[in-house]
Amino acid sequence: MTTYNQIAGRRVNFLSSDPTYVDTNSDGQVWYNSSTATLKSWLPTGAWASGGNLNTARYFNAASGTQTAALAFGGSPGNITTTELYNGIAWTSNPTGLNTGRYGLAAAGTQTATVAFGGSGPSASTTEKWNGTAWTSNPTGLNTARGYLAGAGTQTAALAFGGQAAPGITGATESFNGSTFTSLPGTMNTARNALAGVGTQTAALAFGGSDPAFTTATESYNGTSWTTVNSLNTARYANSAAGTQSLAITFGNGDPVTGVTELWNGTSWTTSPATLATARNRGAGAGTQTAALAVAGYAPGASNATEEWNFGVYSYSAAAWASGGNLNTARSNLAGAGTKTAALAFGGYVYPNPALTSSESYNGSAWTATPSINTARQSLGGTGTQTAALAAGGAVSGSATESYNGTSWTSVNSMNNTRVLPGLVGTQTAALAFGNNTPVVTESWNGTSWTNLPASMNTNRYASASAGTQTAAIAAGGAEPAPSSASESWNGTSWTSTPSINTARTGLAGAGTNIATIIFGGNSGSATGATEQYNGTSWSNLPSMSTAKAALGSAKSGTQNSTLGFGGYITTATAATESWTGEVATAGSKTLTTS
Amino acid sequence: MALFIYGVASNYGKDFFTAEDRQNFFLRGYPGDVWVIGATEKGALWLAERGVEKTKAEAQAIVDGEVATAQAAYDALPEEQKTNLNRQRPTAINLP
Repeated sequence: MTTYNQIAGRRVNFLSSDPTYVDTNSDGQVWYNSSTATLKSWLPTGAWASGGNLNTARYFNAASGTQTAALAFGGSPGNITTTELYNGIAWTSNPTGLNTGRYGLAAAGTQTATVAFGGSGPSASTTEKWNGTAWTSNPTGLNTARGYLAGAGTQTAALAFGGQAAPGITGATESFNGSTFTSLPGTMNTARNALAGVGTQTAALAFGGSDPAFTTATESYNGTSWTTVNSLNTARYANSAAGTQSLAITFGNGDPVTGVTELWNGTSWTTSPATLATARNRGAGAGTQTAALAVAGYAPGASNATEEWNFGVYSYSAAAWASGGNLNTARSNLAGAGTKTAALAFGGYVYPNPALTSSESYNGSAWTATPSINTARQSLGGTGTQTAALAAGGAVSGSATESYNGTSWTSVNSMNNTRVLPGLVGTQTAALAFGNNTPVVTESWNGTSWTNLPASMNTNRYASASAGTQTAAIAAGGAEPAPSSASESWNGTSWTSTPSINTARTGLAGAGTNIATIIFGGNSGSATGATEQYNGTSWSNLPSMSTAKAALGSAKSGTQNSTLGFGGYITTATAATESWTGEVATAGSKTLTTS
Repeated sequence: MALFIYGVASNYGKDFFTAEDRQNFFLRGYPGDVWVIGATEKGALWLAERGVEKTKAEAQAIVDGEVATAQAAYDALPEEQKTNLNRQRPTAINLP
């Protein structure tokens, strides 16, 4: 019997616990876990998960880019111009689309630099270039006008091959240098339309399509000629793909539609046990063999479904809110500090009763009463940690400031300005206050006193979510007094408007930094549990809180992936706490068995 | 014991189903927001959190209606599109 030592050239490691998964070089590593008495390995697996839905359902569309920075455009029904951008979570429609709406087109490039070429009917030679914000029509197009073709490469070094030309199915190949297409002598061995392709201008792979029967034919291009290589396991038409000439993935088929997925290792195709959840054809693909994106398609009927393919040893736990321990005193318009497992709640009220002084601390599961603040108030600001917190402003105190050292609250120098429902960020010794129901400057706290700064928010408002530090903050939403969608970023000197939040609201809460922010809850006409995150570029939606609530507190020093929302009001004050955990990737080892 | 449960759930996008879900139980989508889910505890919980359970007959009727709509759309296509692209008339889908 052949031993592992004879195969791998080394013995199986005898370990008391699983080793750390480093990267794909760890794939296939085998060890014996003496604690669990199991033989284990890092065995990568693949699976499709739902991504954000496109705003416009479509098929025979095109896509480019990566799994977390993709572009989708064109398609049918009709001749769609709409262009959408994906950030790994949600699609955003671009204000402008293709100049020539069409379907059955192909593309090459990235989310910020793509070339789109070909398409149905009269648009069969049309070429357009995308610069990250808009499409520009290229003066010249394909030499062989066609639709239902495939593309590979980049915006400045692309390859077009196959498709449906006016006389019929073609194997014509053309290269694009960023300005013009050139017909190449190397035509495909199997002319076909509705095929898929990946790779670069000089190292491409073509597979599937209709010749006119559904085909398994796979061809490899070396910059000069096409060579027939090992076929797909399943004949496919209108399939989609991602990857490179040496590592590719294809998915979808029709008719009838399927979700069958195959992986190419540079030599042969292997059918994956994982399939698209929504079977489809005529969609588009983007990304790589290990991180791909399936974009729209026909299921039957136009689909807006996006699915994300991940291949590796990691499994991903979905981001979600979970219930936490209830506050001892239900309240709204309170303030918070600390983290998800070490938080502080203080002040607030139960309308129309007087403001509270009580304070509570949270240990990750339960709230315990702690020393009260000195001045009863609601609609105050809070920041810092569980043992080094700051409270400022609010009603009725106005400008009063208090500092907490983990044992007691001490009244310190007041703000220069009266503020109700202010934004307050930073630490106990380096904080920033902004916003009020009347226009007011921003001021900074140095641990001893407040100083007015010569800057105000561009959109004056109050009851915003605030997060960040004294020199890098963000204010999102709030009351103008109408619910606001404004978002602004502070760089230590001035406020700059950033993209608006998706759900305009007031009385929301937040945590994180100015480029990795989470906001949640609030009132958008009625209480909402809407949750959004900011990545420094755009806001995207996350799973909502289980219960809609406004004027709640947050674990202000929490992060975009780990914080708390507590108190607030639904129709009346609540004591409920919700705990947020962002998406978590976990390396999962497999136990090897003899069966 | 039945292998599958059937339901209607609107795909709200990211995290509607996760890779872990796909590895934990059978899950397949069909026209009309119909989903066929492996009859396991995790599968049942997934549907309970996202949609409404249907009988197989109810789910099949929804799919049939969607296919009929797609067939009507196909029938309205120009003949050129039907023949040149090897596009076939949407066929009936039978739920497992």
